[in-house]
Amino acid sequence: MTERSPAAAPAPDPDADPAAGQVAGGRGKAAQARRLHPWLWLLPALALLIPFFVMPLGILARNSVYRDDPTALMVPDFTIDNYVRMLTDPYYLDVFTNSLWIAFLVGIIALFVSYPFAYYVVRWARRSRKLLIWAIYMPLIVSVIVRVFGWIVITADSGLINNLLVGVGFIDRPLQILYAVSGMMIGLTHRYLPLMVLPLVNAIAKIDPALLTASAGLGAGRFRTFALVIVPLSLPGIVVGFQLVFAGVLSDYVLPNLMGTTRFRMLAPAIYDEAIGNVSWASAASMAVIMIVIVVAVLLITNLAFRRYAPWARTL
Amino acid sequence: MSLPSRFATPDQPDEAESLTAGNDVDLRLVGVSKFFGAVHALKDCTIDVRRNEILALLGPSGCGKSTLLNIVAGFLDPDAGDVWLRGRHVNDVPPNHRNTGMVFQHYALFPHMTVRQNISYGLHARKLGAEVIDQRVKEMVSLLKFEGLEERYPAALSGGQKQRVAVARALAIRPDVLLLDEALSALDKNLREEMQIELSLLLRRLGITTILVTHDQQEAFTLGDRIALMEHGRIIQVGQPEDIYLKPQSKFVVEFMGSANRLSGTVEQTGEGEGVVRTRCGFVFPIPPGSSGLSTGRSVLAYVRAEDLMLSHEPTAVHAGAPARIVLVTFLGAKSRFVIELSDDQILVERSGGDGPAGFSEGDNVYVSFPLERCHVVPDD
Repeated sequence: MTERSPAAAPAPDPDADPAAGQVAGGRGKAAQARRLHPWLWLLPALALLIPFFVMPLGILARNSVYRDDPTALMVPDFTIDNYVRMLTDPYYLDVFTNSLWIAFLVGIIALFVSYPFAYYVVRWARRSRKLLIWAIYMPLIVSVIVRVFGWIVITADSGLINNLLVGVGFIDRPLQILYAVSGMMIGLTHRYLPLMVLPLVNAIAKIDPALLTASAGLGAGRFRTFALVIVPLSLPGIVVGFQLVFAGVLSDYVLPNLMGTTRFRMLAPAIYDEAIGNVSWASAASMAVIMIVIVVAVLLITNLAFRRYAPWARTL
Repeated sequence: MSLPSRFATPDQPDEAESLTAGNDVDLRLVGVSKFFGAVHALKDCTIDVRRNEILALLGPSGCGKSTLLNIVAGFLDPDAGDVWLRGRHVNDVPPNHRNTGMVFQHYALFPHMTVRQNISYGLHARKLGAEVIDQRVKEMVSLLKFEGLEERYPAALSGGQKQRVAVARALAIRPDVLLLDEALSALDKNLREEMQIELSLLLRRLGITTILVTHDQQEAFTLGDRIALMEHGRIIQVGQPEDIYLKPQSKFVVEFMGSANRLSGTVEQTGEGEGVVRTRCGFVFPIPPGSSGLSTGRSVLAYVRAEDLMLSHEPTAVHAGAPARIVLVTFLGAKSRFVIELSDDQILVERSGGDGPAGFSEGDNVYVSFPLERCHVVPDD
């Protein structure tokens, strides 16, 4: 129960022992080389991340305080005008609230779809287990564009769902699913479902079956055991899954574009339009920075809340 | 199904009348059998446990003792046979309506609940009032002596503390029967022996009917009023610790009960018509009282415990032939151990400290004797 994740306890490297380094201090260079040795392992990752991730982020942050200019693209400056506009102009505010709302909603829907599935996979599935896990991994393997075309066939005005509903006589005219919020949410939910299911499977699988036996032995029925033992103990998976889905939906570009509607603006396409359509690189950058801040803030707040209200979780 | 337990009046089904023998029988198992696939895990187990009695199910791993306990708790269903708890036929009663309290081998404390929440879990499930629950938790905390730990999470407890909390949680619901499933085996040796004594005193003071499962003879003897020895899914022998130790009824029981010397031999007939046992190493002695199934010519195994053997420099009634030789003397503190060799057999002799190694040393020729009633002779199958 108290085992730590491997990442939390790096294997001690005798060569990296600082005391050993001091003892060998007289031999100068050799000791120094030995101290540096562990860091060499990070080199390939750093070589990729610094120029292609850290530096662009820095440039983005810098651009966000520049001024857009109709003739000169961007003028170096230091102004918070972009941010002020983003947070006061109703158009941009809508973009942010729309995206936050959809990210939250999809996170919740994904949770309610995934939880029973994950629970079934862990508790009941025997031979079907591999198949079910594979079905969850599938979307990660198949390109999202390919899947979008599938959903279009199903959700279009003359698609499978509408044909069926009209055919049965449930409705007179086709429902607007594709190119509407509902179609976009179907796509988003499916796209990010694996990121919810996998942490849940992981968390539920970690629950010691003896705890469920103990709960029954103490007089608790199925519902009480589920609500007071299983759900709380799978909270780590719920939190991680929600964070992943939330961050993914908030920054998704493909699905709002291919299945959503321009009458309900989402953040990532709006940033693209701002930069490419309006040629306003500075305001686009400030939107991007706000988005990053929102994601980081949500992650931090959920983590802090989790640590505060579930202090036991670190010992699982 | 009404709420379980002694808080509600237990149902009195008609079948209860068949239990005329005992209002004081808390648990009755009749012909209980269990299969796991093709494995016959329990074979026709029948036993009564009286009120306030502590029964130890003792046996090697895989003998079915834990399975039997899980059937009592309702976590497993028997394939045949009946389970009665306090006169109630409970075969079809789910575990959460049985009012048994189980202590698990690895405690199974809820890691996301504090000690207080763990103990009150079963009380909340019984929908008791907040005051009663508070009172009961206090009672359990002082009973098992872990004041000050109430708000801790299990991860912040030592093994011994977890053990106490697990017992407290099981006792808090005032179970009809307390079930201990290898409950002490996760503790280290010293702590385990301490807990054995403490638990033994506590359970007797509370007068709570208990079934404990263990593979540790000392634990069974320390805690159990009666021992039920199990082997291959069968209850082999039931009795008080002394009975099991001094009057083992089968080869398995003797061998399981600790380090006994095993001597093979045959039953022979003397001139007077009395049967004697002659061991391969040359001991000759009358068939001990209470032995059965020993016809003339039968191959037998004779068991004598190391502490029941005595050494002497002179030939004895049992050992009149060629002397044995002491090949090793080991000082073990409270006692000394002699390894002696006689023809092809190696025999262990233990004498308590007072008798000391004095008088006998390595290389000596010695003769052996033992009280006849301390020798167990069983047919060699």
